[in-house]
Amino acid sequence: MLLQLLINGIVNGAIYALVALGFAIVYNTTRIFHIAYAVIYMVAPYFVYTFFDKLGFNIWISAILAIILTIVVSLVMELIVYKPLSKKNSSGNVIMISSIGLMIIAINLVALFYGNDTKILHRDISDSIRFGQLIITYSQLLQFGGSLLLITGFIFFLKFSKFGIKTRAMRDDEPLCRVFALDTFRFRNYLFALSAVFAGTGGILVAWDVGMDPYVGMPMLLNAIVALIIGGVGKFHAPIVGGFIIGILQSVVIWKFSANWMEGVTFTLLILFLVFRPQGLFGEKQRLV
Amino acid sequence: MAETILHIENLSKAFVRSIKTARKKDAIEKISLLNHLDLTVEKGKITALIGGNGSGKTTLFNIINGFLDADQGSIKFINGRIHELLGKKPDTIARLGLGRSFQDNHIFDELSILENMLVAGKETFGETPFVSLFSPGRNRKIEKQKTERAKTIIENIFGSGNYFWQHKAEKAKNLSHGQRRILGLLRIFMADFKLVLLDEPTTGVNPEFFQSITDILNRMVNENKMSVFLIEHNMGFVKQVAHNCHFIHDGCIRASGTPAEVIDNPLVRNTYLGF
Repeated sequence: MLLQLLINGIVNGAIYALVALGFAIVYNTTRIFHIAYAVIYMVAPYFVYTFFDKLGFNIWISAILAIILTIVVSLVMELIVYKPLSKKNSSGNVIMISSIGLMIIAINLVALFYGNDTKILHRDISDSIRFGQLIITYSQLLQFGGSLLLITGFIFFLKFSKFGIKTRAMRDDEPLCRVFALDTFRFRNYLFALSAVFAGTGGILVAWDVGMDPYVGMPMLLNAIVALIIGGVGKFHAPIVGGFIIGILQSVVIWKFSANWMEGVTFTLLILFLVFRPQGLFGEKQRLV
Repeated sequence: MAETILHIENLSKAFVRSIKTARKKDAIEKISLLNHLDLTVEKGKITALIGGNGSGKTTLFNIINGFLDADQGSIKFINGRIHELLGKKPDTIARLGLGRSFQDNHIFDELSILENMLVAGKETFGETPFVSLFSPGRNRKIEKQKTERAKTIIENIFGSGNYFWQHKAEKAKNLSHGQRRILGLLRIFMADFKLVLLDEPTTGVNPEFFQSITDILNRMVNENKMSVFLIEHNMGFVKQVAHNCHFIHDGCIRASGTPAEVIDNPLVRNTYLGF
């Protein structure tokens, strides 16, 4: 029983890690608290729903088209809201409030077109593999494999490619990047696109398993943010570890208490971290003066 | 008459803030920092800018490299063609060949020493994720050339078997303040700038590094044909390295000439140096 829950926890953790990493790509480099990221996570499966269920495309083609459209949504957010605000040197709070507004508008739009009810992508029960007592569904395998592939790919990319070096440089010191001729606003477009790939993939993988409604984004975003904070803000590998910790912890909570306590325990962990180790697991203490 | 690389004319900048007056009415307080400033930087020379705290030295640098807007005036950067710098973005200005360093240490803390060198450079190759992903061959070639270049630059100053190259994989945050300062200067060589603005290169640096910094500045001008425009408070250092010197006070240039002339100027002595 424990092992089964552990497996479920690791699969959920992989999704949290994936989504949190996408959030970190934007937050660590631009310091934008991208609340509307919840929408990116939520719209991607709706695009799949349109192509796959309504128009009858092949599932892989639907997924690829959906990711492309999700990237477009992410870029539209950056270009019409974040970029003008950043150019005016608006404070982080102003940008965050606008981001919340953006999220609400987008959720309402989706609810208007698709309705508030839960949609499912496919009706058949997922096949599963049995190892004695343990059951792993194909959906879970897909979630775990997909997340792991993107995460490890990105980590190598970050470490060894020139784009990766520039991403880390931007995380460390944005004005300095501009002094060395990096067009930071153009670079941000790539970062927003990349984060959309992460959130969109996560959203589609989860929706394939359990379906979606217009409000699935926010709980996932909160988990991702907790993962980011307990891992350590400003590090790219930190949200991955944070994501797995939350996933496994939530499974244990479901086993010992009940699913109702899941969120409560997650946020208790967040507050404990903020009080006793605000820099997160991998963060370093900031000098006060 | 020597060639000019930077020509500033009639530059004014005021900072405006709203304040509450005694009668609780909102009023606007205008602090005029630069006042019809004219200044010329000669090509191939080291030019120093001296002046008291708050006299607008760093603001002038921020306007030149595009971080701040000016209220009026013109800044001409002459590098083959004449470019008007006002109204351009910092990264565009950097691409034209004008670089700068900061007063406080700006360094990519989490990047290694070598990566700090590699990330500087005007070429945009590898900025897009797809190119980075799909042409690893060309990528590696450029990377190798740049690594070789970084090695040459460091060895030219410190000789082979030096500290920086031996610790090239170490994160830059582990360096001392003076070493970070020097890394910041070495990094400028990677970018092929024609004019560099250095904001207080010796501040907070152990005097034992002064000789290295002097070597670096001389190499920039003599070997790499750069022009240097620097802000400095250390008059001994200014006398030692600079060819020309300007004194800024009350928002415009009040004295120009060789460092010795400017430092002997009675106005400079009375208002700034105080002896």
